[in-house]
Amino acid sequence: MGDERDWLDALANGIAEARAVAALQLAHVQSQEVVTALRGATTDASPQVALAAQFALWQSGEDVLDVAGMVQACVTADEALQQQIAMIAEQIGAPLVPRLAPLLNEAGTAAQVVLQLLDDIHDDTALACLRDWQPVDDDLLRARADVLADWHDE
Amino acid sequence: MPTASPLTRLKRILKSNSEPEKKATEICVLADVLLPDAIDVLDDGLAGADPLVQVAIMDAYHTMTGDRFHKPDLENMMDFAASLGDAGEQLYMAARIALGNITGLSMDQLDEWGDGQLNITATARRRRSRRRRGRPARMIDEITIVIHGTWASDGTWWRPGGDFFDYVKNDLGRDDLYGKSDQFKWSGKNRDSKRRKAATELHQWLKGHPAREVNVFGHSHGANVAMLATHHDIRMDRLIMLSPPVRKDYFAKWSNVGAAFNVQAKFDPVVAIARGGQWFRIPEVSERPLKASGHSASHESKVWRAEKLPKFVGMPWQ
Repeated sequence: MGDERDWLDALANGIAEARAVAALQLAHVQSQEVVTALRGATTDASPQVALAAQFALWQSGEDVLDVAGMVQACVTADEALQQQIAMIAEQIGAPLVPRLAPLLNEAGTAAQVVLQLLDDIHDDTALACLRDWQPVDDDLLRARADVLADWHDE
Repeated sequence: MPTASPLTRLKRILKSNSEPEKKATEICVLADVLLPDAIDVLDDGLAGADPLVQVAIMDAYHTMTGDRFHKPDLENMMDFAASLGDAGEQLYMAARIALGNITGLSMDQLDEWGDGQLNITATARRRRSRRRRGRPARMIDEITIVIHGTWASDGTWWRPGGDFFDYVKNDLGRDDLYGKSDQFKWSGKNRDSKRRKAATELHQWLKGHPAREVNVFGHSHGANVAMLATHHDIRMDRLIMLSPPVRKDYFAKWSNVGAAFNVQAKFDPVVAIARGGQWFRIPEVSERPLKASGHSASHESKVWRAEKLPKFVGMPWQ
């Protein structure tokens, strides 16, 4: 199939944004060649490409999501990569919650990111997870309280 | 006869036909004993209430939650009250006290507030003194605003000193680009309800900053916030959407938009992941694919220069 070949070529070469989009275009394609290429891209040096490939495979039913890596990447990422992560979290939604929950006890900024992701997912399991969480410092306590208060307002 | 609960008393106050001064005072008295279930009632009471009652509600909201959410609203309220001259004195004082409660600043500090920030009180006083000399408060001719997208409320590019803000203001000569301390911002949270709430807030913000001509740059979901706001009773003369995830459920009320533009990067993983697409493909929107890639490209000054985007959006605007 022409398109598939083009996207495979695009995944292999070019700027990170183009390769990431190529990975996303290959989601749901079940051929061995595509799956192998996507698996290879999941550990790409570019987090944009790696995350896009992981998300593409997740859409095809293969869970190779590196959620901890995603959270860590978010801490230092530029705005565009943070937004990419936010959109992935939005699309996956509830299944991400049990993967995020243990990361809440990571200290500092990473926990803030997890809190933000759970806030965005915003379902009952995410709420329960935040209620059960015992933050280790005042900033996180405040951030958790803000999120829960905001949640209550809705 | 048992005493009514604070929530019931609050509901009665808000529904009553009492004078605004009485209502506001009663709300302030009740604030200390209200429980969280009163927040929704306060929110509902905000819409359409007398400005003095609105201030009391915002103050009560802060008392209950500790949240500074209404700080920009109170700043606007002070500005608005000052523009009324002596007629707004009571409202001005109430908003100033409430703002003091929220910021923790004393009245003296509020007077001096402004080094490095907008001096709201000083601005308000200047306007008041002009008013006293007989000049009426006027609607400004033009206002241009920039709206950030998801998770970007702490970003810099859309604020004074930031790349895109300074480019639009200085290079493109948009003196009306709004960059005061109450510049519009929204939570940036990545869910539908927050975008819709932000649209309501934008509507309120624009009503508090009336202008004959309104121009809006919106990035990513910030563009969707702007489109949703057009379903309220506001008009945007120009809506420049920068890399929005295009979704029909966020389409503008096009009759409230003079000219709409959509700028999209060549390759944009963020829009590719977000539900939606890159293109409107409707006559109401002029669309431009960029040679540049990445979700932030559409708000980078170097891209605007290199790809002649001012010309695409018809600048300079007359």
